[in-house]
Amino acid sequence: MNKYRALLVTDTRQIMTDPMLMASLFGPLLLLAIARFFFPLLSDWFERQYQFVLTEYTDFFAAFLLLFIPLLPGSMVGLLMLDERDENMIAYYAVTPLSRVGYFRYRLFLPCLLTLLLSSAFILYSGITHLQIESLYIVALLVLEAPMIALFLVSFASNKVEGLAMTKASGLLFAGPIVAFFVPEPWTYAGAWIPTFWTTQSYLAGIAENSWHAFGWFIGGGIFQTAIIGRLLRSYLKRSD
Amino acid sequence: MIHVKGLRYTYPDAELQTLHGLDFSVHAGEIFGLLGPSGAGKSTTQKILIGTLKQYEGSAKVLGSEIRQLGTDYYERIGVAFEFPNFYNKFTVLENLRLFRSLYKVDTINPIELLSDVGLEEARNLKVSQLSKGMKMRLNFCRSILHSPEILFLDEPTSGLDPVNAQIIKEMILKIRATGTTVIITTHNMQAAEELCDRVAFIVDGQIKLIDSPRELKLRLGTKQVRVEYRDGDRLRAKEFDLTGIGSNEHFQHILRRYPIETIHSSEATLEEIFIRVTGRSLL
Repeated sequence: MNKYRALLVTDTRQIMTDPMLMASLFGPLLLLAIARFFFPLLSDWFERQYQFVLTEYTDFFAAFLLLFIPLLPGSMVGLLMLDERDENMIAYYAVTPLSRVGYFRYRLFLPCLLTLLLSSAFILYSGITHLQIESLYIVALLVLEAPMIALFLVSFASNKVEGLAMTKASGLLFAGPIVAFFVPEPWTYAGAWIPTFWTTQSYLAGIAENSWHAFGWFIGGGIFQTAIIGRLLRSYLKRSD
Repeated sequence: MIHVKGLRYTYPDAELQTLHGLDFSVHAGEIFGLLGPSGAGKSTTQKILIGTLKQYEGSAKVLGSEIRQLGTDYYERIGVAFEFPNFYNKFTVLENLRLFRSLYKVDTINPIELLSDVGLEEARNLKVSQLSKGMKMRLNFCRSILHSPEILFLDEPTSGLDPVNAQIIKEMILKIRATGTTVIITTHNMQAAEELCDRVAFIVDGQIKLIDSPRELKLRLGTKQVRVEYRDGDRLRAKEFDLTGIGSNEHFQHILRRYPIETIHSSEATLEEIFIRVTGRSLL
């Protein structure tokens, strides 16, 4: 445990000296604050100015903001891993009792833990989500999404600069909630290749009190995301050998 | 300490084998050099010995156990310093050492003591990005011995260093050997190997061509002659004599008595000459 604590202290120091990494960590808290305090104000203003009822889209906004949460710690850890690969630090960790496996375990566990805490906080305190048993499915899928994003960056980017460019490509994940929410059936299923599509569908089924559908989307999404993580991990390990 | 027998290795997706059946042993407390040109297989051999490549064929036993069966506890007993001294550049010297120190369960040496031993005590609060290459190499060495390893693996320990820093590193290696640590050096720097190693193995094309002590090799494969340079009036002259019976060689003694001597050298071969003669390859 001592070694993981030391790594955590090192990461905290790195994050505190890098504004971008710091933004990735505190961004989800900002999203929570926006949902809690800014969204009601914005809804009122839209209604008064344009007679547009924004609250009809609350579920869409909730899903959209929730999907932001794993993107931030996932990108943060991906960039840290790229830095460590560029600096050849992983080779050094590999020849200590931490080992390469221990390093990956820690690196991929960290965004999972952060996503678990931050997405739970969002569901509990944002005021725009529904707290129900199906919320657990959403949290679980979001937790899987975080290491997937980290691995996506380190598998395809050669260095931190490319990694930064790729964080923008991760924005494609927001197509998931858009397709799930706005595209009618059966065309909406064309979005099934987007991992976040499954998460959004599970969320929407949950708030429609369609428990079995929510569970089905959760299982399907879980298998899909685990398969992607496995593929990305193999690709990354091959690349770092 | 290390016993390697019939060691073969082929990289994944590679068509050709990199190591073609190596056999060698390293005794406790010795400094053993793996010498060879780039691509010869010495780094692959080292990677197998430090447990990062486990899909090898044959046998490679370290500290009595087959390497492919060793767990992470193995790293409590060995130290590794790669050629490139990589650290967290934004952190200080001491912060980096403290981080690596905390990865071990075994007792570790106080980093301040180590830094003091290698002349880096004053730099302990400098960021690593502020250090010179020589200072980073010394720090790299400190990191590898934080946990007093039984075996220390060093990859090109004097690479890219000026003579002063190279000498500091060599002294550090001899000092750690004096504490009973076995040292394995991978290098293509023959001069460093000649100065440091008790025995060397020449690796070329994934095969060991020869193993012996540098002194033995130099004597065995050199010419047993002595070359004398002396001044004869305005002219510099040189003469070579067989070492056999040199004490009673009249001509040799005559030159010593008659002329001012400028240099006398025995003509044993250098390790580099021996390497080229044995392997037919240069070291670049």
